[in-house]
Amino acid sequence: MIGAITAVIIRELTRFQRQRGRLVASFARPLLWLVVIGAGFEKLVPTEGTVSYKQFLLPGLFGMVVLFSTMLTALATVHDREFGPIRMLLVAPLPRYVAVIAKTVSSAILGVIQAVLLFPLIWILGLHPSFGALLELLGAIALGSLALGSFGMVIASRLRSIENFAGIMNFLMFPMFFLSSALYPASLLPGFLQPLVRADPLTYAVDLMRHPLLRGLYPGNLGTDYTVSFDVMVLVLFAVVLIALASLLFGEEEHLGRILLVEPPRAKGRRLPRPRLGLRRRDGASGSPVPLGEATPAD
Amino acid sequence: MSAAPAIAAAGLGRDYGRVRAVDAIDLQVQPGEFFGFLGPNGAGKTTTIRMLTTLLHPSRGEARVAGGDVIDDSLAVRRRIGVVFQETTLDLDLTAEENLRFCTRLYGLSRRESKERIDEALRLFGLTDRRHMRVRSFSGGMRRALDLARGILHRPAILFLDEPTLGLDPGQRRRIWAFLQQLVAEHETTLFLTTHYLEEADPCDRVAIVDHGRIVALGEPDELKRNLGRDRIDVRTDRADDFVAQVRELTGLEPQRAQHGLSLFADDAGSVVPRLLPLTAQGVEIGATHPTLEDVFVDLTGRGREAA
Repeated sequence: MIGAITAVIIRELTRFQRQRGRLVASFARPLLWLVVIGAGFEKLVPTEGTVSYKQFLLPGLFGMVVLFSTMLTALATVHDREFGPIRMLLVAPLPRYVAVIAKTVSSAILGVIQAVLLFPLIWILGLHPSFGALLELLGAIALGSLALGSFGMVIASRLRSIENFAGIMNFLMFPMFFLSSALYPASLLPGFLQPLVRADPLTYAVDLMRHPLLRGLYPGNLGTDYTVSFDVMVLVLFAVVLIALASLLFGEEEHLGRILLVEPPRAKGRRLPRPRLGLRRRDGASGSPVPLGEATPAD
Repeated sequence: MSAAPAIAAAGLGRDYGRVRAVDAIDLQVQPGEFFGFLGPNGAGKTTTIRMLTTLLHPSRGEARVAGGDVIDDSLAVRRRIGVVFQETTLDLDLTAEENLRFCTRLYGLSRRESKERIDEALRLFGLTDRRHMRVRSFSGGMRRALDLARGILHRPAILFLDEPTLGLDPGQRRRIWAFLQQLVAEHETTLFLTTHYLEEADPCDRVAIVDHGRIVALGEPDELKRNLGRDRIDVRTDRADDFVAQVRELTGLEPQRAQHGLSLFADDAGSVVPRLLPLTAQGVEIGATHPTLEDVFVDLTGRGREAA
């Protein structure tokens, strides 16, 4: 089981390191938010404490990186299942939950790596966390990645094809980002949105990351929403329940069967040429009196 | 035929909603057998393979594979089988070696075993010098070869192959086939394969022809051909009219016109051809063809399909 999980992690890391575009995107997106949104909001939001809006926003951007990374990895799972390597996992003598855990853990690791690559921003924005606080931040990112990674796996297990990507982006990733505490303290959102805010794992992940970064500062209106132990508890609960759910959903092959057999959702242009049945006689006698070749099997 | 069968299915069927993909499959495959599963597209071949490899739950019936039930002992079954899918399962961004190592890790092989088997598999498929190249740069044939190598790394007792030569050129197909035959001979691996290149099924020990989710014929390729009967004897001449009477007289059979001259149908060409030999003195060529598996296949499935 450990071997299998290691195998999946090594594979994901190797792929990640070869996909330069992904790395660039994972850098560019949060920087854009920081520079543009951060600067704009900073002018608008009155600060009551010693925390600047950009400093407040930083954990939200770590959360964003983790959210996008884990969701993209989850979507890659859908592609994998249609075309490739995940089927090696499915025919290997491993229980389904091992495949799910392996995928979740590797997705979380990629999320952590990408967030850590942005760590220099901490000092650039004038924060000086202690070494202990940095470790705490790392732990928060890891736990948040795990919770979001398992959430991604549940989504992936129900997705028919990667073509739903735009829908996922618009109706899941962005709402999750905006409804979390990433851009503003969650408590500022109106009451009718609160149920959604509280159902969003990103809310707790960002909150947990914000604790060590803003510790010792006087945040005023730009503070954390929950206690550390509450955040940890909720995230662990999310991770455990969602991994269990994803294992259940992946174990049930009905869905997989539908995807692979009845409605193959092939991306255009990737379709293999469907070979015709070789219903020609080998002797090549064209004037064969035997009626041949009319048989075109229905697809 | 004394040992427990490698594969035993009884009434195995699967629906997707209201679509009946596989109706009811009954079959037994003996250990070491080279078994071909033929049928047109949509006949239920892939669904059957997926049920036998524990990837899909049957809607009805049961199956035992490599001594285990496909539902209750799915892990044990998966440990003893290898599966090569129709589409590649390789990761195109990884090298050949990395792909194989991913696989040996999944099966929990030790580092040494893993290295030995990967070396052997790469050598066997002529991929040693491409070991460190990314699979994306491989041709279709090389990818398929690597896929096969992956399927046998853990030395499965039964290897399932879904259209192993789909989309390959004839040279690549021949190489894959030579390897499969070698695998059966050396490791006594049971092979279960689907194909719709019918001429490829000839080397199989036994063949099942499946259509509309049911087995419509099962037997040795020769046996199936014999059941279809009817060898064809060709009389090649451009003066067909001159020979009709003679041919009828010599053989007692009614010749039919064909572009190359005349054709006769008989259960056994061997007894008819000698009687026609005198005609060769007049510049006529005599030839005979046994029915191919394709003929059997068309006979069993093709004509019925036209209406469908």
